[in-house]
Amino acid sequence: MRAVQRAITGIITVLLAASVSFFLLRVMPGNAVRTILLESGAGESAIAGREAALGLNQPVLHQYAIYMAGLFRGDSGVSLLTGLPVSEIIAQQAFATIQLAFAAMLIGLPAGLILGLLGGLPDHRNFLPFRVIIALLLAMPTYWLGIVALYTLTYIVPLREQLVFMPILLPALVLGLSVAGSIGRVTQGQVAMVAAEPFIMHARARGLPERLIARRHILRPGLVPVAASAVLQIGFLAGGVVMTEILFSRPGLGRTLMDAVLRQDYPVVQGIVVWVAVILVIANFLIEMLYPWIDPRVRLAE
Amino acid sequence: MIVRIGFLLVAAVVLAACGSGSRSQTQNTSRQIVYGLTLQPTGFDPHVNAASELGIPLRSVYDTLIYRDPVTKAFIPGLATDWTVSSDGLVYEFILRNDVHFHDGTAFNAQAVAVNLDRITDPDTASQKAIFMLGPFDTYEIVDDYTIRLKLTEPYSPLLDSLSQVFLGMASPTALAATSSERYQFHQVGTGPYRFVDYIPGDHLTIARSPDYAWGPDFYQDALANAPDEILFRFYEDPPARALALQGNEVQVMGELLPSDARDLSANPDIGLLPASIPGQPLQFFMNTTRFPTDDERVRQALLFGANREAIIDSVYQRFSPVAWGPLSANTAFYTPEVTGRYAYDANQARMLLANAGFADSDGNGYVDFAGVDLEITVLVPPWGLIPQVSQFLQEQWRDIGVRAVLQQVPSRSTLLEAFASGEYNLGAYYEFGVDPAFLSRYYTTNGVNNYTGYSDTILDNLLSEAERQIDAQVRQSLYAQAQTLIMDRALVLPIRDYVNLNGYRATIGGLAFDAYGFYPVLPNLELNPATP
Repeated sequence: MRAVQRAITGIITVLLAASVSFFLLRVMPGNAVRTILLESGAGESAIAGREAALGLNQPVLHQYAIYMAGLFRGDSGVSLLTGLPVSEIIAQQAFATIQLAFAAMLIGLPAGLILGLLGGLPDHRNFLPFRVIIALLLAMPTYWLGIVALYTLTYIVPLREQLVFMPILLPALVLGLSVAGSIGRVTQGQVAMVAAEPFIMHARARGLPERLIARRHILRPGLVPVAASAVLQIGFLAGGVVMTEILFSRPGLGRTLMDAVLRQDYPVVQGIVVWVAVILVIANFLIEMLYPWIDPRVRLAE
Repeated sequence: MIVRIGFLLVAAVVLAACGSGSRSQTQNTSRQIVYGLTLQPTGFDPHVNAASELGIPLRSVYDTLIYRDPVTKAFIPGLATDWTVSSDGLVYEFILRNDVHFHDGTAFNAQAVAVNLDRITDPDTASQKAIFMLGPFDTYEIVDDYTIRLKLTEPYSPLLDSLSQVFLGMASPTALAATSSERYQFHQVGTGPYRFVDYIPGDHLTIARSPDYAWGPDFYQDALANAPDEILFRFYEDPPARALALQGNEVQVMGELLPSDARDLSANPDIGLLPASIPGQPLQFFMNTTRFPTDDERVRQALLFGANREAIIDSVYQRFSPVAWGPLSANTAFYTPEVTGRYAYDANQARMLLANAGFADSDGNGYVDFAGVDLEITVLVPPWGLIPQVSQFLQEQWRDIGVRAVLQQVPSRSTLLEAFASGEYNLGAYYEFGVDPAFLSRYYTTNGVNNYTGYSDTILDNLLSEAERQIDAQVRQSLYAQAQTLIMDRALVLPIRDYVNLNGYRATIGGLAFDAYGFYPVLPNLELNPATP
């Protein structure tokens, strides 16, 4: 029953994302075809003919109906500029994005959890440096961090040529650190909150070892909001991270999305937005299924 | 425990992913180089897509019927050994080479040219540039296996220039027939010194030398003698990352370096710099003659005199560009030196012109005004080409002559074009490249599609349209010279600098040079030198 409700909410979310992106794009003047043809010196009649062939001269609501009908058939259209199916473009770019997202999560999630745990325990002797690191990671924009990393490896420790054989390492590290900052911040807050609960004092009174208390009694109950924030990170990474992709000259959905927005290639933009929405909905759904497992109190509440 | 298993799973996936990484094939063999492209074009099909960047690799994959000499810019034989133009300018006859075959073995002949023309003009191809370069092309006639005639509906002298560009490169009919038109960009076959290997969008495009190439134009000296076996093109869209990649030897040739980075790299003995001028329009601002206050010629002239272009080039472009004086860059065909030095920086002259136009600083706020309203101009500022920095300099310089410039940022091409269409601007930055100045008629004739000055003058209209119809180079030179002078007399445009592409290359690369269009490297003339330890 709950699952059905979730599924319906999920579908509505995706449709809303598709609709909003559809209309937002059309608020901007011009379209991909017009811009590129004007630059090639095409006359107005040639441009109008091309627009008509692509259905861009139809009323917006009519275009919307066609787009939505296509979406329900699983057809997200073709790029206005290359004629290639949008699904094919996404499939081609998604691998690089998923690869980078996984690598970034692999670095960011454990690093964030450890930093958050060490920075959150109030009676831990040296929590301050960990809090400072978390704050720094949160404050550093990935683009800046990326430039610094590239600069360092080019001029200070010249390892750039060696890194060519492992091109994912640097972008994954840069992105992972930013993920670690967000995860660490949430974890830190949760840990600090749970550590002040009476049941922790009780655990200590029972003489349990500190490490066990920290892992089982403090970290675990605090994990639900951490998991929720991890899902947000997945959504953020699923869309690709534009600046990281551009900086490290990687393919990916973020760069494709940005190019498509600037060129007003509507179907491509809409396709990627829908993709990100679907990933977010699925990730949210899965993590909610996991909540009772992470924290048995959720099970009791139901 | 659960968390730990999760991590292990993720780790396994990532390791698997890394193992099959799409870039594992990019490792440098000794005869392979990496060439940095600066923009990821939407598509790489020269018949379909319009981005200049596609020509950087593909210029060497395709041959064209004719070529332009990189130095003299004269037309020289390519796949056509000879050509004649009928006296009425309506029929172009080409005699083709009979010893050419495509990389897939298909023979090149008149039928192949016909297939290419059919494809470009087919509405289903939806060509974004090539079809418009053919101008009033009507039909062709295959005279024999190695002779073809192109027929036009009206005289169009830029046709030869069009036919010498990669957008009208000759593709293999077999390859075109083997795949759908939109997927041809992944399976391209030409006749050039390099053959197309693969293209993975966003990641790379690879070309490899074609050993039996023997029909290059004269300037392909000893083509491929010591050239790289394979050239891998990768995309570096972030300008600061370009110099870093070159410095780190991740790429061996890189274009569009930032001027400040180029200045720094010039101190490095492992890296050479090759600034290449691009013919066409300079970096320039069109002045809107239909809107106050730039509807007044004296105001436009004042803005020209008040702009210190030397100072802008010194700081923004690190002196890597010549000052531009007219509507064409100095290395464009039919450029006239008569415009050189006109409107050289003279703030006093600018102030005098403003005073003559009736503007004076009556309220003492530093800006000249008319009837209590400060003289204010709106400038459209797109983000590319360091135009924002140039605009800030202009704003300061014009403040000095009492003009307030409002800089209006436009984030993309489409917003810029929309702003031009709205007419609500005084100046707007825009330029295009090309050797033949035929494009001028689109910008400066009354009904030109890119007439952003709003200027209308039958004398200029006639000069430009006649120049496009005339075949004789001397006649065209004279017509274009008059047109350029007239455009500057009326102060329709503020030219800033001739566009210069700042290329950097590792010292292991020799022979880097660019073709007549300035933008396309002559790749078969590259020489790989042994690495210096």
